[in-house]
Amino acid sequence: MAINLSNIIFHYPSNTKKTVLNIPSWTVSTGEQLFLHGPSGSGKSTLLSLLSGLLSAIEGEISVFDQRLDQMNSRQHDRFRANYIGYVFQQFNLISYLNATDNIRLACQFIRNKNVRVKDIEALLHDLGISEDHWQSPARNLSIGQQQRVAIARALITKPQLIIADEPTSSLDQRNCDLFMSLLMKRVSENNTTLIFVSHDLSLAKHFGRIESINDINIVKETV
Amino acid sequence: MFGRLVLKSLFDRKGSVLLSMVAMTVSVFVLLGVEHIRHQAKESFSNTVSGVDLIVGTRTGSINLLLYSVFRLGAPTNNISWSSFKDITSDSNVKWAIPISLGDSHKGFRVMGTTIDYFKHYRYGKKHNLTFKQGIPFAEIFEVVLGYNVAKKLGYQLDDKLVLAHGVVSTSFSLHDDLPFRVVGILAPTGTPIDQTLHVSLEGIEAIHTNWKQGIKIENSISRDNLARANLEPKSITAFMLGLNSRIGTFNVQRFINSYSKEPLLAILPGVALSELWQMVGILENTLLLISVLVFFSACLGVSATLLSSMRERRQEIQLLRVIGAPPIFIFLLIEFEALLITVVSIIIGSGVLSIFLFISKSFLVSNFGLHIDVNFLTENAIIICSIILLASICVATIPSYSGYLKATNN
Repeated sequence: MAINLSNIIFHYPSNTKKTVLNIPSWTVSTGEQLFLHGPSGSGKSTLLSLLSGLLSAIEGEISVFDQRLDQMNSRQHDRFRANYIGYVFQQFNLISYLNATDNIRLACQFIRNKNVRVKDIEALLHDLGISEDHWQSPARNLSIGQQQRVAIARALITKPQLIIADEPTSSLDQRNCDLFMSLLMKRVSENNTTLIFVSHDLSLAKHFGRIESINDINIVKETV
Repeated sequence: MFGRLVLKSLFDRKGSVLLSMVAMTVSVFVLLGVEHIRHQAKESFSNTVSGVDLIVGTRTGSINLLLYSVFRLGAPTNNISWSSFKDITSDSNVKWAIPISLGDSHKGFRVMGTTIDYFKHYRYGKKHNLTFKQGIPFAEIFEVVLGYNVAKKLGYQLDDKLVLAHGVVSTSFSLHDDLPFRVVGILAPTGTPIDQTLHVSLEGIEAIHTNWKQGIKIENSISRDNLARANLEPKSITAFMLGLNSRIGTFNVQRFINSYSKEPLLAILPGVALSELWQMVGILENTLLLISVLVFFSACLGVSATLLSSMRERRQEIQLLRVIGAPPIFIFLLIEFEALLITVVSIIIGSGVLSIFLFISKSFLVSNFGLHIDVNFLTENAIIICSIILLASICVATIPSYSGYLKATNN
């Protein structure tokens, strides 16, 4: 089992009265590719933060790859996140003043096995269609499409067991979106990586084996 | 990778980083410079006279005696008689004695009457002898030896003739113009008040005053021939310096002089009086240091303010580092090292600029202020100051670093 949540309650410390998440039970099996959709403000990103240990639940049990996140301290959360999870956001995936190679190398700083060879990074960039003359230019000089593909490389280099993608294609045009999806899905199925993909764009759901709405998982009803 | 991140992050904000680095460099320059010159001035000052065991004058304050006998500043309260000088210097413990007679001047430079023992026994700095740049000590009555700056400023050469003025004002109207002196020697620079002094024999001083009474010139002046035959043994002198055979006896001689019954006299140890004087100058010195510390402190705050204001634009970057697994302490250290790097580079540039500055101004300071400055300022003191600079910048940089740490913990 990749993810196992039970009786999760979460609210932000700044607003203790407003419960954001209430998840009685939710599981994702290893190697599953899940498409998660739902309206803004329904707790999708909060759920992702809980899974990566950036936030801690107030109550309940969270196991990710059989490790109890709710029993870890923040240092253990950081190590777990570095070693098990690859993250791709809608934007700001890269440090703008570092080049593609350095951005990927930076991600390797925090994992257990730091011996990542430059050759691996270059092969990965090659596979993701980033031409060699873009490897050394600062991330801010790359196009958004290129940046998102470097972000996949950044997420993949640590060989994570879970990839979390939070609206990764929302800033991309159709052509880049298709390219991004095909590269991501190819990689994920090759490595049997578990994928949680959050998006508004239901047309992307066709790539996934399991499709869920956050409202079916989170029983807190939207009050706004 | 960490170092690369620090470097590239600083380079990415090169405008603001460069400005705060310039401020830091200036403050390092000022701090090290003030400390160095302070040290060197003190050394130069303490080195004005050395190898003299006692300075004797009429009863006055010890600093006053030091000021007029060594620094040619101020005026003596009274003279001491030649017979007392001869009496005291006949003591068996006295190795040598240099009589000093002051009161005349030449174009603002003080004239000192003395004997050729002065050139033999007087020491300055680290026991340096007086050396001649040109010429020889005076031998005749109307011969004068110039200090280095006197010759340089007034453009005198050997064999030039000059006239002494009565009193120490630069625009004196009472000139000893009937009896000019001939330049026979010019001393090498010493960096002490000697450079500003004209040296003549005691007999010369006596000679130009023989036709004077109560500071007024009596007309029918004596000719040179008559003077040569006249008795020119001085009746009084201003002060004298003593070198003793045994240092242990210094206090005995000092007590003997201070309780001398025929005349009220004061004997001082030059080292003690110098340090007393330096304590007074020390206030100014400490003020300078305080100002440079404040300049440095404001530069430290400048660096921190630059880093702190960058924290807002770096929120995404911090968030991203957290997501890829960087612990909050990594963010803290990242910003600390950025501040540290700015400081280290500033120290290197500041020191470099100071070296060049000292090298260029060295000869200017010697020739214009008689101040000998060592170009090498990397003393133990300077290293301590650099360490304090580093430490202080680390401390002040905890403000932006902690702000980054907080941003990293509150997602």
